[in-house]
Amino acid sequence: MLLELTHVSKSYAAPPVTVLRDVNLQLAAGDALAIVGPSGSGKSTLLNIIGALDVPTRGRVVLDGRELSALDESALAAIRNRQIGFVFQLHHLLPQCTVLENVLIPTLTGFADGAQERAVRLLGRVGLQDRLTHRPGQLSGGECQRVAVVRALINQPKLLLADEPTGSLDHASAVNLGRLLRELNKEEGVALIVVTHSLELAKSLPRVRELRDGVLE
Amino acid sequence: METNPPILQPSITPFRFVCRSLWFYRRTHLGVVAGVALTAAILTGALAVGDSVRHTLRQLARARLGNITHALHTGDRYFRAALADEIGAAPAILVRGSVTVPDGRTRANDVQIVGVDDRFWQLGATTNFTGLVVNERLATQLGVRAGDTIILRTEPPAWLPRDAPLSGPADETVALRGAVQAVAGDRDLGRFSLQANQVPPYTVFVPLARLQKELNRPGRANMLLSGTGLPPVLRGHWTLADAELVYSNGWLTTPRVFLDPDLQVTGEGVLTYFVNEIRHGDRATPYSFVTATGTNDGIAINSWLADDLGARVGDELTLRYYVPGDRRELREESTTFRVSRIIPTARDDSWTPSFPGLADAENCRDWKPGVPIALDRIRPKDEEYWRDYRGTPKAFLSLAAGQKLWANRFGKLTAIRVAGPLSDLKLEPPAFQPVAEQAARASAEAQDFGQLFLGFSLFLIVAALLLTALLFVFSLEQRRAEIGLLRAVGFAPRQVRWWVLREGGALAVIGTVIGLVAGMAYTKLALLGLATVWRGAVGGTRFVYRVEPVTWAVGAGASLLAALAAMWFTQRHQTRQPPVTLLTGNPMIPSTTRYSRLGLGVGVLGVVGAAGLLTLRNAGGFFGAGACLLVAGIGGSHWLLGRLVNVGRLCEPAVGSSPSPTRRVGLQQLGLRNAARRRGRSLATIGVLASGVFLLVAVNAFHQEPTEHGTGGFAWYAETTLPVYEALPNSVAFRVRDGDDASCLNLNRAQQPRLLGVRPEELARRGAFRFVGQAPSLPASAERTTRMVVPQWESLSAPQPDGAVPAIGDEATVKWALGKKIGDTVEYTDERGRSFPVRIVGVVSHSILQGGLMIAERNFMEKFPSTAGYRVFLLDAVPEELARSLADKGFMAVPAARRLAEFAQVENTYLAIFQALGGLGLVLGSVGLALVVWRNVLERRGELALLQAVGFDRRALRRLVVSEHWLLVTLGVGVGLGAALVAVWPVGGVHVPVLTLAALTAGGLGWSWLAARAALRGPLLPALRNE
Repeated sequence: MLLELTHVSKSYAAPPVTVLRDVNLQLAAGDALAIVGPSGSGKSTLLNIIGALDVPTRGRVVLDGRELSALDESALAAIRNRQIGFVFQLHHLLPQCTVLENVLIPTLTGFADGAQERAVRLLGRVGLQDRLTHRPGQLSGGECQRVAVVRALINQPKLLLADEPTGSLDHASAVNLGRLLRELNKEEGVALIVVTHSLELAKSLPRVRELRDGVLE
Repeated sequence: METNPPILQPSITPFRFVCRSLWFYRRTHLGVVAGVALTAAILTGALAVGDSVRHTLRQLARARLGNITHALHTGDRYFRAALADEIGAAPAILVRGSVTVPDGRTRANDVQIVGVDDRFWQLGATTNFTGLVVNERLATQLGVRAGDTIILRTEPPAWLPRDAPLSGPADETVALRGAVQAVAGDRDLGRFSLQANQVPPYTVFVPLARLQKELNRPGRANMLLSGTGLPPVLRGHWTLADAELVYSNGWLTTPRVFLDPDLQVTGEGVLTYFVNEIRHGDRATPYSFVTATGTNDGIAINSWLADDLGARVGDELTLRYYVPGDRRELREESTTFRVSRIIPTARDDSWTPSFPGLADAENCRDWKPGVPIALDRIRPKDEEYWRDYRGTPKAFLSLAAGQKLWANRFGKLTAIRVAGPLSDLKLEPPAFQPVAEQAARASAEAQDFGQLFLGFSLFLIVAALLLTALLFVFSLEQRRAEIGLLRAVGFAPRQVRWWVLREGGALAVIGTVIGLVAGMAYTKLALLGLATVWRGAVGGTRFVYRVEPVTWAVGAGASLLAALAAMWFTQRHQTRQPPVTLLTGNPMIPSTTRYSRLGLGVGVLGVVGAAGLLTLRNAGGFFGAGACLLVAGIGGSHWLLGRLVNVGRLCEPAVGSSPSPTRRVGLQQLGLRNAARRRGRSLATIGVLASGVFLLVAVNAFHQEPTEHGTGGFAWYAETTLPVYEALPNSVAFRVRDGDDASCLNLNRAQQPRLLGVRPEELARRGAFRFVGQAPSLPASAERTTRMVVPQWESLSAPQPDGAVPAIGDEATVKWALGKKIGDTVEYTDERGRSFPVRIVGVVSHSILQGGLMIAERNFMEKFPSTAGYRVFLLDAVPEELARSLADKGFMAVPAARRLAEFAQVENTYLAIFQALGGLGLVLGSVGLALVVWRNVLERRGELALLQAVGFDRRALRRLVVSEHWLLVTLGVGVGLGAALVAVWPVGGVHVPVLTLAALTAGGLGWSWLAARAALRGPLLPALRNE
């Protein structure tokens, strides 16, 4: 099992609020899962915990056999760099870098073998082979999000997390992006979890679970 | 169709990433670079002021001495000018006098008159002058130029000090009249002086031969100047004639009448004195010489005297004679002797020295011995005796008896009958002083203006650093999402920090380089200020710009480090935030509880500290208490801001009831809450304003005004160029040994300050001046074993265990000019060339005595017996006739309060510089406030747009923004002012710069309003779409 969440809960103290209650989740390598739920249900919080961007108040998160709560910040950063790819609702591309440079940002931590060739191949795969030297300001929203997807895959992670990846896109771009994520899930063999409001996107994935009032059903 | 693969750029590298970011965010970075540049400019510029001052003083020292490396000045003792030829030096005469123009319209006192020949000019001048030459300062004072006539007046040297008995007429001056040949500039030794001072003395150069003639010292000099680099050796060249000794027919005498007490030679000592009367019963012989020599008891008289008095062996004779008191006071005393034998009368002048006013007189009525002579007592037989026997003594005593009566500070022998050759006479020549080395030391040890300006500019530097940090934080906040992304894709916090600091470091380097160049402008502005509005601090000296390479390095390194430290400190908060927070843009809500407790804790500690320091009840305690209250105030502000987060909170209404209207959140409460949101920025703004106000007000309290104790209770301070030998009415008089000016007006480090000899009891009687420290002195009694504190002026008379001469000085002289403290010593050389220590035993506070060290007159006369008369006076009044009668002595009186004000002006000017630069720092602080306002508004355009959408107009929004920040200004000014008032409480009469503070407050609010107006320009509602 690639990912295992066991009795994961998340609460905040001031003001007191429980966002996740006793969440259990398993994901095998190469699997794809959509998490849906109303606004404020804790979907992004759950994704952040899975992506080692947040820590649960209770419970365990085991990724590829390693419990994340036992790791320090440097180890978590290494996991985020090499084992997890994250696609956010806003692409967060660096405006001062080109498309190719943005994709290669995660390799600046020192893990860069064959990264340049992989970046060019993936950008070609997503149809941006002619935009390598362009800046984010010269791209459309959909194109920027595609660059963000390639960035998330540059270090060949085992798990790809997408938090409302189509939330800022128009319908056509959203459909294209959703299709891209599924295809990359199959081609790259990377497990995929997508948090989305889009039922269309959710239904395109083999598994869907709903998060309601902090409980993953 | 397959497309050709694109040409790839090199993959991204860390360096490339930093460069891209630097270029992309260049507009944002401009502010940071400007802040660093300002820091570097001020830091380097301030240090360069020190370089410039040191360089200028070195230049002035070189101009003062030219190529002269060693100098010998023997005061009123003259040696052969030919000695200069033997040792390869330049002979000269140095005396003091005054100079006027013929019509008397202009005058200069305290002029150094230097007799020189061409060898002097070869020691550094570009021109070989041959006539009367004045220096530029004297020319300006008199308003003369080449061709104009001037009159010099000086006192001719005397063989005997003029306040000694039998020294001849007291008030002799010589006048020289001549046309000015040229005005000597700096390149022609116009600044020549043996004392280190950046202000040259008034100087007139006279041809040596002419001055020798006018002073009646043909072929003689009292100064030797050498430029060889090595001290000339006088041993082997120094002769009897140079030591003013005469050896003839077995007699060793001196034209100075009395032989130096430390002269060591084997022979029979002789002391001959001039007595008023020798009486036997009702018969008396007036005005006779009596010699003391040998060991015979009683008195031996010659036959002439025996006949005149009708005396025989065994008869009693009474001698009446004057003994010298102080200030030419004469006291007539008498002693009785029994005639032991009668000797034949034979002419033998060799017993009698050449008393001035007596030796050259043709007859008795021409005598001018300097003591009262009743001419009607001189009988024809006395004239005959003088004609036939001249100075032949009429009576002889034992040497011991004579020395008991007539030995004085000038000596106890008038001759030595040497039995045999003079081979055992040891002549110790005087030593050359290494004046070039002393000058270099004086300028090297001078007040460090670099450190001074650095201190003055410290607040400005802190404000600039704070501005840099603020702008850096703003730039980081603008790129929060970028930082969040780096964290999210796997950069460890440490790695992100290094990215940030690399970029910040590049900005710091760019800013530092710009700042080094801008620092030149800061230095030049500072030097311009010192030459104009702040000239009071430096005696009007114009400094030459100069920067040493090490200053560049230190300035660059320090500002780089400071900027990096500020950036490192401020980026920690940003880079430590969770990636999610950074990515979503939700600001962290700081823990109100933890930080509020911290602020409260600091506040309480500060108040407790202040209370403790106040119990000291001295100036230091009050100032420390004020500083503690400043810290407490800032800590309290931190706590207050924490409390304001919840101000005006709506209460939860009970079911069925309505909320209390007094607890609604109004615009004002909203503004107060908003002030607490960015507590770091708010606190930084409060801290800068409070610190600036504190410094501005507290420093102002040190402004010096003339005080009663500073003038010693005297109304006038006077100096004369030539000594005054009689007491002036209602005054305290000081004897003077010239030396370096050790007042705050001299930028050089004084090596040997002027010595002033005074009667301590005269100052003690008046309780003059206020002491700030006192060293215990051993009492004279050897029986006492415990130390006791001797009060104040009397300590000048208390002997020191090691024989050092006790001295009292003004605080500014001791602490700043000399860099000494109570108990320290200064080495001096006495009149005979022997060194002796002067120990500082007391310090007076802010007085008109600044510039020299005071010692007891008794000690002064022991070390400098030839220094006659008084040249410094403290008076209660200066009647016009007194001033007129002393005009030829170069008498100059200034109100004591004015003299004190001149000294105070230096310190007050330093305070003014500090306040000016501190004020600039406050201006910078208010610019920081404006930036904070502008930034706060920009970040909240969305919420302001919402307020606009629900019905608030722009005016209301501006009021909201201003109300957020008026609290910061009020807290900043209030805390600073309150703390400052406590700090300066004991001073009383504090000058609170009300207008400045009002302008500052208004300016702060004005900046807030302007920044709010600028930030709220344009449509706000589009910002809602980004929510």
